[in-house]
Amino acid sequence: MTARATGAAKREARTAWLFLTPGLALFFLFVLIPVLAALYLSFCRYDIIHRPVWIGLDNYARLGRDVSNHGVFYLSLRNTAQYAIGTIPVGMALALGLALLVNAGLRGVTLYRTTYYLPVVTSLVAVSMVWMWLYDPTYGLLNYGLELFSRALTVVARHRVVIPPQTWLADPGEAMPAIIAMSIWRGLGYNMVIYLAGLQGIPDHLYEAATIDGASRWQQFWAITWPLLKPTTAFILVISVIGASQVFAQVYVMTNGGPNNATTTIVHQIFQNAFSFLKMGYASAMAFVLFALIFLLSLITLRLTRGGEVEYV
Amino acid sequence: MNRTRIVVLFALALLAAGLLSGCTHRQGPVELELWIADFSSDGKTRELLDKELIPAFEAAHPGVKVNTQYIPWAHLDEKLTISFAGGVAPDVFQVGAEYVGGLAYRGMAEPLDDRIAKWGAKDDFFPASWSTCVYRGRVYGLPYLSAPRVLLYRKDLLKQAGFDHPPETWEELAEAAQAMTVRRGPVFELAGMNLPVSWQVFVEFLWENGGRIFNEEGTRSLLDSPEAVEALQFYCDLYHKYQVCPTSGMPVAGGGVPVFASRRAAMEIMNQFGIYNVRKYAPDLLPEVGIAPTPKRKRRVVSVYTDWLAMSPQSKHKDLAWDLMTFLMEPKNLAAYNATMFFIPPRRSAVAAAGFMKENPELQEFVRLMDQYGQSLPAIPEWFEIRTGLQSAVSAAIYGTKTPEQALRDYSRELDALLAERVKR
Amino acid sequence: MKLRLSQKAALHLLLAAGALTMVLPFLWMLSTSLKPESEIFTYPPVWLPSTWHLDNYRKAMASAAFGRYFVNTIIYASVVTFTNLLFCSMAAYAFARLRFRGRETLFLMVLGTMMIPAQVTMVPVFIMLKRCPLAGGNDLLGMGGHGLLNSYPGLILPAAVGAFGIFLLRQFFMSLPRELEDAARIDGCSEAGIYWRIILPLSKPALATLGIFTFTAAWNEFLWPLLITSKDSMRTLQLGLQVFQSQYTTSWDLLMAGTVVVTIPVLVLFLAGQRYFTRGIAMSGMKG
Repeated sequence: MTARATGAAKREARTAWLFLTPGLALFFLFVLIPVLAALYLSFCRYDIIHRPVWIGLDNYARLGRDVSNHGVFYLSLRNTAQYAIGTIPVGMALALGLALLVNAGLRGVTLYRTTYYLPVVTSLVAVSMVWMWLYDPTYGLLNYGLELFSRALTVVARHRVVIPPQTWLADPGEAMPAIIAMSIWRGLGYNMVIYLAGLQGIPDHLYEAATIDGASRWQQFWAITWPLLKPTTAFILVISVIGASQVFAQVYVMTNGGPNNATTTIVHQIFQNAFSFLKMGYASAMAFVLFALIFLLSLITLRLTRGGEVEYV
Repeated sequence: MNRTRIVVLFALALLAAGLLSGCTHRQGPVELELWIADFSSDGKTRELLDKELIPAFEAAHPGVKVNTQYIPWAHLDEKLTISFAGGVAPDVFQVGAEYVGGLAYRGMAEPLDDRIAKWGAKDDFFPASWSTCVYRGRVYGLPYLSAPRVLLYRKDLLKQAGFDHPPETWEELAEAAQAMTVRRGPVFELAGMNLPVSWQVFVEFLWENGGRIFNEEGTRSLLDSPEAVEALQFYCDLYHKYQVCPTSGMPVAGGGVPVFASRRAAMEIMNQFGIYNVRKYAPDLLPEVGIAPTPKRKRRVVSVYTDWLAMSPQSKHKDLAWDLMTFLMEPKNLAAYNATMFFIPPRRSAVAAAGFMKENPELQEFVRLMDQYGQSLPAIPEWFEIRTGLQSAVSAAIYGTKTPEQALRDYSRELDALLAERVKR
Repeated sequence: MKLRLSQKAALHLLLAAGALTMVLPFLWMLSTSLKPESEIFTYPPVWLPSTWHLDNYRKAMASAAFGRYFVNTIIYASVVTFTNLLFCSMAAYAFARLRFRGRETLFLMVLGTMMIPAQVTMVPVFIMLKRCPLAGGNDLLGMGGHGLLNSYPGLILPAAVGAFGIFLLRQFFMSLPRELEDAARIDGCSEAGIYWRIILPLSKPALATLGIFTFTAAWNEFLWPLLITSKDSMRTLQLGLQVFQSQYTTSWDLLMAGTVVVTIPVLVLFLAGQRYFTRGIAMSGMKG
C-alpha cells in the first residue's frame, strides 16, 4: 500500500466519523447507555425502589427452568413464534404484490396507496379496539358476514347451510389467528411503502432494455425486480422479525394474553414482570434472551440476502 | 460550500434544541400532584374535580396549587413505576384493590395511622372497604370508591322456571341456572348464569367454601386444600356438567352492551355496574332485576373491590397532601365523585349525603349486602403475580388442560416458591 | 409498460377489493363517530346513522385542551422527523459508502439495539433525563430539580435518532448506483458534497418513506408522552384520546370522533408525500 493510499483511507475514515458523530452521540446517550443499564439489571434483583442487588445469572437460570418446565415464558416464546410465522411471510408477499400493482401506472393509484396506508396512520390502540368490535361473537361484523355467507350458501346449495358464529378472541384456538389477521391488515401499507421506495430505485432503462429483448413481464420480475429488491426485502424481513418478536400493544388491548395464555407474548411477559410485578431484573433478562434470538435470526437473514451492492450494467 | 451548508444545518438543529429546552422551572406556589385513575369516560369526573373540588381546595389553601392528572388505568402501573424510580412520585395517587401489600412492602405508600387517629373518621367507613388499605395492621390510604359483587337475577325468568326465591346455595344456583338456560345446539341463546373465566369468580367460590388463598402471614399457599379443589371443581362443573354458560363466557354484546343488560343471561355475579348497564341499555328490564347475596356453601361472602388514595413517602408536602386527601373524603365531595361514575361511596355519611344513592334504591341493597357480608382481597406484596398465576390455573382447569386438582396443586407449589422468595425487610 | 384494457380492469378490480377490506374498519369508525349513543350497539350492524350526530365531534374536541395538544404534537413530530432525516441519513451514508475500521461491528451494534424492547430501557432513559445537569432546576450533578422531565427536549431527545432510520437509509444507499458518485469524485467533489448533491436527491423516495414513518410513529406515540409529561400543557393528542376510556366504560362515539380528527393530519401528510413514490422522479437524473 502506498503512503498516498493510506492517507486517503485515513481521510475517508475521518469523514466517516464526522458523518456519524451527531447521530451516534444521541444514539449512545439515549439508546446504548439505557440498553447497557438494562443488561446490568438483568444480573440483578431490582424492584425500582431499592438499589439493584447483584444476583449473577439467577434470572437467566430461572428463565431456563421456566422453559424446561413449559412455564409461561415458554408459552410466550411459542406464541411469539406463532405470531411471527403467521404474519411475516403472508404480510411480505401481500405487500410486495400490492406495491407492484400500485406501481403499475394505473389511474387512481394515489387513492389506492392512501387507502392501503390508512391502517398504519391510525393509532394502534384505536385500531385494536375497532377490531375487538369486529370480532365480537354476537354483534360483530365478522360473524354477521359469516351469517350472510351461510345464507348465500343456503340459496346456492338449496339446503340449509349453517356456519356457527365463532367466538374469536375468546377462544384459545382462534385468538392468536385473530390477532395475526388484524396485524397483517395493519402492517400491509407499511411494508408496501418500503417496497414502493425500493421499486423507485430500479432504473427504468433496465426494463426498457428487457422489453426490447422480448422478455415477458414475469421474466422481467425475476430477472430485474426481484434481485434488485434484495436489499429492500432483507430490510423488511429483518424489520418484520424484530417487530413481530416485540408484538405487544394489540395483545394488551385485545386479549391481555388470554384466553388460557394463548396470546401472551414475550414483550407482554416483560411488561408484566417489569411494571406489575416490579421484577425489573427478571424482565431485563427476558429482553436479552429475546435479543439473542432475534440477533441470530437477523444475522442469518442478512447473510442469506448478501449481495446488497448491485452492479448496474 | 457544501460543507458550510451542513454546518449551518447542524447549527440550526442545535439551536432548535436549545430554544426548546428554554423552559425552566419557576419558583412559585407550593404544588401538589394528584393522580386520578378512575374517571368517567364522558368527562363528568374531570369536570367535577377541575371546576369544583380542586378550585375549592385551592381557595381554602392560598398559595397551594394542585396539579391533577388523569392516568388511564391500563398504563397506571408504568407511570407509577417510572415516577417512583425517578423520584418524582405524585403526592397523592389512586390505586386499586390489589395494591396495598406491594406498596407498603416496598415503601411506596406512607403509613397514615397517626393522622387517621387524629382525624377520627375511620369508623364512618365500611369495614370491607377500609381493610383494602391495611397491610399488617397499618393503614396506607383512604378508600375512594367501592364496588361490591352480588348476585343479579331475572325475577321473571326465575319464576317461569318454577323457583320462588333466588338461589341461596351452590346446589340451588346450579339447579336454577340449569333450568333457565336456553341453548340451540352449541349456541347459548340465554345463559343460566353469566360466567367469565376469571380468578375473581374462583376467589368468590373459594371464600364461600371456607377456603383461603394463603395463610394469615402470607407465607404459605392454601390452594391445595380440599376447599379450594371443591370450589374450582364447582366452577368447572357450571360449564361442563351443568352447562349453563359457554367456556368462553357470554360475549359482551356489540363490543359494549353487557350480557345481563342485553337479556342474554338470567343471572350474574356483578357489582353495581350491572344496574347501571340495565338502566342505560334496558331500563324497562329494571323491575325484573333482583339483587341477592351470592349463594353460599359454608359461608356467605360478598367480595368488595375498593380503589383508594395513597400518599407518596417521597412527597415534600405531606401535611398538605393529607389535607387534600381528607378534603376529597368529605362526605359531600366523596358522594359527588362517586356519583360521576356510579360507584358506592365507601363512607356511611357519604352514602347518606349522596343524591344518586336515593334515586337508585337498588344501590341501597348493594350497600346493605356489602356492610353485612363484605370481604376484600387479603393484602400481600405479591398480589399481581398471584392474580396472574391464579388466572392461569383457573383457565387451565376450565379449558380442560388440567384437572382442577392438578391445576391447583401445580400452582400451589409455584405460589409457595414465590412466597418463600420474599426478601425480608 | 403498456397494459391491455382487460388487464387494467382486472387490476382495478383486485386493488379495489383489497382497498375495501382495508378501509372497512375505518368506515366503521367513521360511522360510529356520527351515531347517537343509542345506535352504537345494534345487530345487524347499521352503517348509516338515523340522524347525523356531527355534535360528537364538537363534544370530543371540547373534552380536553386539544388545541394545545395539537401544537405540542406538531412540535414533537416535526422536530423528531427533521432530526431523524438529517442524522440518520448522515450516519447511513457513512455506513453505506465510507470505509473505516469497525464499520461492520458498529453497524451491528446499532442494529442490535433495535432488538431490545423499550419496556426495559424506559426506566433508565427516564432517570437520565431527570438527572440531566443544569436543566429544570438541576445543579451540575443533576440533582435538585426535575431535569428534562415534562419538557420538549425530554419528549424529543430519546426519539431524535433511531436505528430504524439508519438501517432503512443504509439499505437504500447501498442499492444506489455508484457511477454518478465516482464521476463526482473524479471531478474533485468532497464526500459532503456527494452526500448532499447526489445521494440525498437520489434518495427522495427513501427519505419520504422515513419521514412519513417517523412522523406517523411520533404522532401516534402515547406511552412516552404519558410517562414524561406531568402537566396538561405538555400533553399530546394521543393522550387527549385517552380520556374517552375509563376502567369500566368507553364513550365510543367521542373516542371514534376524536380518533378520526387526530388521524386526518397524518393522512394529509401522506397524500402530500405521495409524489415521491411516483415512478420516474427518483431516477430522472440517471438517464443518458
